[in-house]
Amino acid sequence: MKSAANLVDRLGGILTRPTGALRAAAEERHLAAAIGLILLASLRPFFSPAEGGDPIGSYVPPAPSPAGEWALGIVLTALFLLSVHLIARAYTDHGSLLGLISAYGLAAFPKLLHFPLLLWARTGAPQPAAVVSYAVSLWALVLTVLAVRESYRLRTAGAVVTVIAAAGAVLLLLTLLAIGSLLLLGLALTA
Amino acid sequence: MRIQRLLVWGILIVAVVSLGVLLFGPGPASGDVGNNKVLVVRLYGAIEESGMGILGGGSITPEFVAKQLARAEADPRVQAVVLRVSSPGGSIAASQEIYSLIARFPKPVVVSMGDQAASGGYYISAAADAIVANPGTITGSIGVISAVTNLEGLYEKLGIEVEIIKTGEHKDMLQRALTDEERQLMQDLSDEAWRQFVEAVAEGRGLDVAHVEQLATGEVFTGSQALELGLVDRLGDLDAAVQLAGELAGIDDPVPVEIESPTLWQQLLGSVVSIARSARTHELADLFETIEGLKAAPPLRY
Repeated sequence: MKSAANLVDRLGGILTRPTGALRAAAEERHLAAAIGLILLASLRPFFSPAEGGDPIGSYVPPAPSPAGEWALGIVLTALFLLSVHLIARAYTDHGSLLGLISAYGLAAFPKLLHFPLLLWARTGAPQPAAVVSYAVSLWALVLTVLAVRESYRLRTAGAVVTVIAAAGAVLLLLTLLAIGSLLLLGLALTA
Repeated sequence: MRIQRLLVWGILIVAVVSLGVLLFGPGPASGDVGNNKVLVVRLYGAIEESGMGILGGGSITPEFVAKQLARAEADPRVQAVVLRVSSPGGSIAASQEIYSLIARFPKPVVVSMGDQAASGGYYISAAADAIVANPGTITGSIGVISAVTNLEGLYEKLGIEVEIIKTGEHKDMLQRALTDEERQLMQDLSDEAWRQFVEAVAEGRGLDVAHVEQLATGEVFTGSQALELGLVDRLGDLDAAVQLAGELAGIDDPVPVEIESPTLWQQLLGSVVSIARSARTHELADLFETIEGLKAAPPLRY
């Protein structure tokens, strides 16, 4: 029974004992909560990271289309998870896509900390907020690798390779799509 | 276990409350940290109607300037704009469009002249609220130049016979040697474009038309000379221009910012377009393209 208390315990476990919690999350399949967390954590494009000022002189303009960026982020996440699943299943029989979504989604829980950090940056402390934000991103990345490892019972090195390969596959797919579109556009322009 | 649960609920509550404040709370008020930005936009190259490739680059176009100014206008953190101009001039119409964009921009605009801001480069600069030049900047060159290319000899060499059917006596005047009458027509066009240049400079700089007419001989000036002649307001570098922009915007400690340069990804996309284009051409096609370009090029330029 996936009660709310059980979910809270899983999320707590991700903060303190992530290995066991992520393995359990993959088995228990907290899909609704996982997808909710993924969608919630993806809302960052709606708030410019440079909102509170940028001390180094570079400039990040507000996203021209936050909703588009958010939707693209969701699509890329879906492609990434599918790639992870296909790659992982190429050399192990353990794990499922739904289990991966559950573990990956719950592993996104610390990303919620970005919202108070954005607020902190807005209220006048952009530098420390940025440093903590980087740390949270790093933490979330480690949890992503652990989620893949625990979902498919891989070794750590295997999980790292799987994550890198999946990210590379998504990037390659995007590059091919972009090159294809631009080639067509270039041909149309020169025709 | 209890502490763990408290931690989870704490994070959830703080995240949701923060999200609520970010979504529905007031934005950063004027004067908060981050609202003292001066956007520096680099305008390097010839002024043209359109750039090369999808991403542009290598030329200054009205479209590029419009996009940068629109971003600066929409962003409440940006209080003023500094245009770093280094241009030998170019298309008349494109210069005039950029002039209009700058003139009607609601926030203060300061031009910082780089290596050169001559002819069209000066034309667009004249629309700014203030101009800061380096002592050795080459500027001025207020005038118009035309180049009419007579391709008859080239066609003959290539064995190409061009038969022109026209309605209108002067319709083909830019595709053969000019007659005296047509030369005068071109001169009249040039004079009219010169007049527009003089009036734009006089209006933008708040100078007498007669004074600008005296300077509008096509002569170039150094930044120091331009200061004496009233063509620029101050001598100084980019930082001085940023400080002046801050003064005009009423901010004490202006922070210069630039829109991030194209990423590797964008550069890759730009290269792909170039490759796609060159893949479709060959030597003879290139030659014809050049000839068409010469024929189609507007004969008058700042």
